[in-house]
Parts: sequence; C-alpha cells; structure tokens
Amino acid sequence: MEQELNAYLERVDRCLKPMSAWERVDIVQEIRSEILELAEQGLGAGAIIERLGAPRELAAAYLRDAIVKNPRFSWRRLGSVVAFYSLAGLGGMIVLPATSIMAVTFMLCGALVPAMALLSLAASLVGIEVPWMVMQLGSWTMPPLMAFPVAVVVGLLLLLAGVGMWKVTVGFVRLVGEKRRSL
Amino acid sequence: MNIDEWRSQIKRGTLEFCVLLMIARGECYGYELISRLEKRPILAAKESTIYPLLRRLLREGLLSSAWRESAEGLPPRKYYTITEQGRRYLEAMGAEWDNLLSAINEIKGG
Repeated sequence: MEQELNAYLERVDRCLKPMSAWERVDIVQEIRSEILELAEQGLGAGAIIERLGAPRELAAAYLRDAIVKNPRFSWRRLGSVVAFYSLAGLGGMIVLPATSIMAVTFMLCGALVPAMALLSLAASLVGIEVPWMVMQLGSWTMPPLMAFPVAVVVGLLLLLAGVGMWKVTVGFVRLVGEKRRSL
Repeated sequence: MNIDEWRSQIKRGTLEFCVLLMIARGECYGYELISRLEKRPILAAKESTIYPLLRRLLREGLLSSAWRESAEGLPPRKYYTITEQGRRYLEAMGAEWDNLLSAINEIKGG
C-alpha cells in the first residue's frame, strides 16, 4: 500500500517539473498529508487514489492554474505550458506548440530587429559597412539612417504579435481547462 | 435542459467565496475544507479544484499558510489563515453577494 501511494506522489511530482522546487515539495507534501489522513480513516490505497484522480490530471490542475491566473510571459511559464500540453492530449499537441513557439519567436525577433538596426547604424556612422545586416525591400537596400526607425516599428509590431500569440496560448489553456474541469 | 451544468457554473463562481468564508471563521487545512464542503453536495469540490484554488489565494495575498504538527501519529498539516487583505476582499464579496440575492428576489417577486 505504502509503495503504491509513494509511486502516485512521485508521478504527481514528475508532472509538476516546470514549477519551482520548493513549490513542488510543498504541493506534494500537502497531498501526502491528505493521503495519510485518509489512510488513518481506514481508506485503502486504491480508494485513496481513486478519490484524488489520475496523477497527471491532479498535476495538470496545478499547472493550469499557474498559467491561467498569472498570464505574464516567463520561461518558467513557457515550461508549464509545455508540460500542460503534454498532459492535455491531442488538441494541445498541435495548437499549443505552434502558438507558444510563435510567441517566443516573435518576441525574440521583435527585440533582435531593432538591436541589429542600431548596430548597423552605429557601424555606418563610423564608416564600416556590414553587408549581411541591412534592411532590404526587394532589390533596394535602405540606408541605415532610415532603416533604424523602420526597424523599431517592425520590432514593435513583432513584439505585439508575440504578446498576441502568448495570449492565444493562455486562452487555449483556459479553454481546455474549463472543458476538463469537473467539479 | 441540463441542471448539472448550471449547478457547476454556480459552484465555479462561488467556491472562492465559500472557501474564504470558512477560513475567515477560523484557520483550516485543505482536507478539512474539502470534507466540510463535501457535506453539501451543491458545494462539493475535488482536491484538484480546492488545492490549486488555495495556492492562488495565497499568491494573491488573501491567505497565509503555515505547516504545523498535528496530533500524535498524524502527519503535519498546512493550515490556512485569512489575511487583512483577504478580509477586505471577503467583505466586498459579501456585499456583492447580498446585492445579487436582493436583485434576484426583486425579480422573482416581480
């Protein structure tokens, strides 16, 4: 019996990987406390596990709440999304990877484009040409002085697109969560 | 016509209120809350609902928690207490709740 319950807690813990270590310990500790309480009342391992539900689902409930109620972007939360979609089934395996990867890519590019343009502007001011770092429209190459403000605008648009994709990601998690939530 | 769906919507909307009300009357641990809610089928909620909800209320600063040893032979428990901020929030919730009830009564009484 002991063994079965420990295996259960270990599985919950594994599914919670993207959360911080102390948070995981705290979560598992609290579930363990309830398990011991239930055992004290004479419930068997099978009944206890049935009551708590599949370890993946229990862990997914924590992850979902951490993502949805705190929807700002961070690497840790991206990890939570990845873990959640691995638990949430097929729909999540297609939609969430696409939207979360696009969110990160757009945000990165949004930061990178103006930074590159600034570098290229600085280079041209001291008289160096960097042929692989230019703003090009068809065959016409923009002069660096003009490329910089254009790049800032493009960068902002990309950042907005990234934030938008992140919102789609969080929205999808919420949707899947509501569907699966049975009180 | 699915009354269960409507019931679960009501539950979803009021569980936070109920949990805060219970903790405001005295510190509780998670399993205690769950088993007290279980006695009222309209409010019964699973572990996978209550524990994440408690974590969120902690994160938002409405509750605080402490691990404490309990009686001999029993495991340590995580006790939740309401904070000052939680009390203010609960008061506002209570006012809205009374609002809702009197509005519904007015409509029903037509």
